Amino acid sequence: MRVRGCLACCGALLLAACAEAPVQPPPAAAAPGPTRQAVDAAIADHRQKAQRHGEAGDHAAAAREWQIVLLLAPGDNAVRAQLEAARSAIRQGVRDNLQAGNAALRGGDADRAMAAMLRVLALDPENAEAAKALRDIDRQRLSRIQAGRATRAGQSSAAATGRAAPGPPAIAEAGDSYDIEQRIEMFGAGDLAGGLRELRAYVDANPRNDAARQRIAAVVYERSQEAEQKGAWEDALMLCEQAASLRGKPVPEWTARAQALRKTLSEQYFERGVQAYRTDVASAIRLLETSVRYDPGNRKAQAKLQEARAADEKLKRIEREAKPR
Amino acid sequence: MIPLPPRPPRRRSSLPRALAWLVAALLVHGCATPPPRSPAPEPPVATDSGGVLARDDDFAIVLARSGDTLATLAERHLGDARRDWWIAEFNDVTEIRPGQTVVIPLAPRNPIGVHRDGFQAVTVLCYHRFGNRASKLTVTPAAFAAQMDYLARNGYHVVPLARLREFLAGKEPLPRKTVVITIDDGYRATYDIAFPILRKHGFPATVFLYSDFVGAGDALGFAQMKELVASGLVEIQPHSKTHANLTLRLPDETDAAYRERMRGEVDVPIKVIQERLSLPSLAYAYPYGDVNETVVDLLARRGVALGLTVTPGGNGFFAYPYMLRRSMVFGNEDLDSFKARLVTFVRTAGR
Repeated sequence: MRVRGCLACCGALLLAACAEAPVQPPPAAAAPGPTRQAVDAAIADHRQKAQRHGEAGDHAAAAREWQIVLLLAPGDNAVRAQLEAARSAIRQGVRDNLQAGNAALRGGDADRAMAAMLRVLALDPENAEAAKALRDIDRQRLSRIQAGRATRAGQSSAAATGRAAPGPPAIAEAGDSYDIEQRIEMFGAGDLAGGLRELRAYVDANPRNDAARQRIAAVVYERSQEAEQKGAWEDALMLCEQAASLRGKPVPEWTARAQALRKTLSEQYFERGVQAYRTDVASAIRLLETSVRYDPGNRKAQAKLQEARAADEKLKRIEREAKPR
Repeated sequence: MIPLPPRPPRRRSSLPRALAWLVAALLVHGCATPPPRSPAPEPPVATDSGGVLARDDDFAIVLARSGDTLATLAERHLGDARRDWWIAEFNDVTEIRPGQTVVIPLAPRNPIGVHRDGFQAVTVLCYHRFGNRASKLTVTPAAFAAQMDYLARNGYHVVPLARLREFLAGKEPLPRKTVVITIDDGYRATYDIAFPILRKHGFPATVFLYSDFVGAGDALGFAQMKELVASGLVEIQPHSKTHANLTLRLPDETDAAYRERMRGEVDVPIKVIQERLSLPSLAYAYPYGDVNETVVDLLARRGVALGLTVTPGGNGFFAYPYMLRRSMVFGNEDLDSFKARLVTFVRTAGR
C-alpha cells in the first residue's frame, strides 16, 4: 500500500518535473490595462523629453532621458543608439569646453574660463578639473573683494593716524552704511564699552566723514539723555562727553549740558561727602575730591574738602601721639 | 492517562528508496533542461511588490499605488523620507497620483547643481536684531513673520548651515530653492521674537555670537541659548570675541601682536561656546564681514570649516568656504527687497 502511494507520488513529481518550467507570463498579459498605458505614456514622455533636450544641445539631460526610456524598453536598439550618441556628444563637449576653459585661464579671462568650466560640469558633474578651476576662480574673486575692503579700511585708518597722505574719505560718505549701523546696534544693545570702542574706531578711520560723525554723535548723545532720565548721572556725563568728542565740532547745547551734569554730580558728591564726614573722614575726603573733580569751581566742596583733610591730619596726629613709645 | 504501547520497529523496504532515487534523478534532469525561452521582455510592465517597473544602478521606475506619496517612495527606495525632494525635483512634481509612473534617482545625479543654463546657488540670509522699531539692522516681528511665511509658502527649503558644507564639497545635493538663516551678534530678541516664528515653520537657524556681548543689556543669556539649542533648530557659532574689524591693526601693532590678538578673537568665542553650550564650532562669521588670510589660517587650524562675510549673493558649489557670501536683511526694506535677495539660481546661458 505504501509502495503504491510512493509510486503515485513519484509519478506526479515526474509529471511536474517534465512539465515546462513556469515561465513569467508575457508582461503585457500580466499587466492590467492602465499599467500598460502608464508605461507607454512614460516611454513616450521621456522619449519626447530626450529628443527635445538633444535638439537643444543639452546632451546631459538627453542622455538621462534616453537612459530612462531604455530602462522601460530594454529591447529597443534605436534607443540604445540614441543614448550612446548622447554620451558621445557629452565626451566631446567636455573635451572642447575644458580646452576652451584652460585657454581662457591662461589668457587671464576668468569670466570666459568660468563659463566654459560650468559647461563642462553641466555635461559631467564629476569633472574634477573643472570643479577645481571654478573653486580657484571664486576664491581669487572673493579674496580680491576682501583685500579691497581691507585696503580701504587700512588706508582710512592710516589717514586717521597721519600715516597716509590726505585724500578723499576712504569709506564712502554714507551715514547709513552697514559698518556704522552695526556699531550703533552694538552700542544701543548695551555693549557700551564695545560699541563706543567700535564707534570711535570708525570715526578715527573716517575723520572727514562728517555725516557719519554727526549720526554717531547724535546716537551717543541720545543714550546720554536716557541715562540721565534713569538717574545714572555719571554714565550720562561720560556719554555726553563722548558724544561731543565723536562729533569733533563744538555743540554749545551739549557743552552746556555737560557742565550742568558736572555741577549736578559735584553737588551729589558734596552731599554724600558731608554725610560721610560725620563718621568716616577718609571716605568723606574721597567723595569731596570727586565733587571737586567734577566741578573745580564748587567752593563749598573745596572748603569742606579742606576741612576734612585738616580733620584727618589732626586725627592722624592724635593717633601717632597716642601710640605707646 | 494510559501509556501507549511502544511502536514496533519499522520494516525498511528497499523499493521506496530506489523509487526516491529515481525521482530525484529525474527531477535533477528535468530542472537541468533549459526552459523554453520566453519572449523578449518588451516593455516590462509587470511590477514587483514594491511597484517597481524597472531598475538599474541609477534609477528605479515605479508605478505609484494608492497611498504612495513622495515621502513613502523616498523612504522605500532611498531609505530616507526626507529625500522626497529628490523625487519631486527629478519628476518636476509636487505630489504623486496612483497609476503615475515615477522615476526615482537612486543616487544624487548632480550634487553640485550645475546645469546647462546656470548653476544652483544657496542664499545665506543675515539678520541682526528684531524689535518693534524698524531700523536698518532691526527687523520688526511682523516683517520677519512675513519673510518666513514667504519662504514657507513658496517652496523654499531652509536648511542648517552644516548642510552647506556638504554641498560645497560636492557630496550632498541640496534642494533647488535652498536658504540658510543666520542671526548675528546674539541679541535677546533672537529668543523673544525670532525663535517663535522660526519654530512655527520648523526653520533652522545659526546664531553667531560675539562672546564679549554676553551679559550686556539686550544680549542673550546662556540659559536662553541653551533653550534655543535644545530645540534642535538653533545652533550657536562664533562671531569673534569683541566684534572688532579683524582686518584692522591697532596703531603700531607688530605682526606677532596682531596674530596673537586675532588668535584671541578666534579662540575665545569657540571656547566659550564649547564650554557653556557643549557645541563644536563649524562656522565663523566675521564682524563687518571682513577677513584676511591670517584669520582664515587661524580658523582652519582650529578646524572651523566655513567663514561667512557680508558680500551679498548666492553661493555656488564652488564658493570659497572661508569667504561665503551672505545677504543682509535690512529692517527698513520691504518684502520685495527681501525676495530679491533670495538668489537660488544663477543663470549663465548666453554668457
